[in-house]
Amino acid sequence: MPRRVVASAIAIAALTLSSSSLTHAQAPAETQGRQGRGGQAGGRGRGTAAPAPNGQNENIHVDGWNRKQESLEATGKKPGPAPARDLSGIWEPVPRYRDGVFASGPRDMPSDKAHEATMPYTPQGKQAMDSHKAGFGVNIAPIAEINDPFDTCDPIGFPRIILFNLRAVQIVQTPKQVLMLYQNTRTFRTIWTDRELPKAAEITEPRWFGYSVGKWTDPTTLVVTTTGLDESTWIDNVGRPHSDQLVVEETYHRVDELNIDLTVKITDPVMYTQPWYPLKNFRLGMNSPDFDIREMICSVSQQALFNQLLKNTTDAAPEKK
Amino acid sequence: MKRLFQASLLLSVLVVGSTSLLAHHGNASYENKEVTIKGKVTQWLWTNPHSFLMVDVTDENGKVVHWICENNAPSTLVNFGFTAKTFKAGDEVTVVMSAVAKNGTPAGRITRVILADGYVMNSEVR
Repeated sequence: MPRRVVASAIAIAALTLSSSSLTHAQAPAETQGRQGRGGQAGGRGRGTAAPAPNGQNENIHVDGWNRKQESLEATGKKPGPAPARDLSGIWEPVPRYRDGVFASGPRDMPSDKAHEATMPYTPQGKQAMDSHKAGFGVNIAPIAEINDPFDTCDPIGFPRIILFNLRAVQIVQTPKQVLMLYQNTRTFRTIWTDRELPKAAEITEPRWFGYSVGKWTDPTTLVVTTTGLDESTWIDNVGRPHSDQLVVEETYHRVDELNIDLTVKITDPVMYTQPWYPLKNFRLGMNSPDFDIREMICSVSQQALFNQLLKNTTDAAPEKK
Repeated sequence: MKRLFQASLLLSVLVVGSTSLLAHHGNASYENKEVTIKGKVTQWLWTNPHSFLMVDVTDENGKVVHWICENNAPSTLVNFGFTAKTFKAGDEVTVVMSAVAKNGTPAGRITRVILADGYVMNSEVR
């Protein structure tokens, strides 16, 4: 390899590593002004109720290279018609990029008392749910008691990758595949569009992200079906359980050039008496093709540090008299 | 100013609404109280799933309390102007927390940090 190419590769790698910023961030020149202070110049964020006399930071969405970003529609671009059989692009929840965090459960089935009362658990499903000690939702538990597999950085798995911290996702299409590249845990899925799902007997190895196939049911709607999922994962951040009978159906409807609506259907006769929908027409907006997807890594050593720092907070509170 | 700074552990106990935090880790170990401390940064840990600002607070008798101040994930904080370099050891800060450990451990969740020059770094801009 020519020396210049090697040098370029090293430079790109170094830039990428520094922008990942887990240990040491060097912002691009346009944001240098806020180094040391931490604040941001300009922007469109809303301030808090009581303005600080010496100024305060604002909410300005930035990409992995710390460049200001917003969805293309928010920049004023008018959406054209939806292209046929095409989901490619870099997408984020809209209107707010954090609308897909879903810490307390997915938007259309959060884990509060009212929604839990509507969950169609089978007796086995209810028992499994009750055994899950989560960080949020009806089964919230102190940190020391949480048994969420993702708390030890087990793979987040599917469908939790789309039902918790659904941040930026880049969709890439090839003649036989739709590839989904996720910001959260920096992982990807392969959806095959050239074949049928394997039969149950053919699945000899359950997988964290299962086996997925996609069918275009009309020129702007891709329906993805996934089976063969590892039972050790949770469906969402509040501990909804699943068995190896889980079938997840995702419907990606390209509303127009700049928007996709995502609906997710959960079917698992072992855990649920009927299908339920964690998301119905959840909107994803297209970002600029220049948008760099930030790293969001579950690091085992950082997770251990987190647990170490907070372990003493989990002692029982002293009785108040 | 120095004395004022060292006077440390300021106000507390204003019950506030629960904050929406962003990891898979919950807040069952915390109770919702607004607590404000003044102290010196010993470490700024830019880590997942959450970041931490470690702050030493010294009272008038010279006793030092090591506070563990939990902040949001870097992937969220970058949108509020935080970076891995926002704080360094020795910085004088005022930290406002919206929830603290139920058992009295000096740990809490950050709502905002006021820098030495008065500039406010909110962790959530509502």
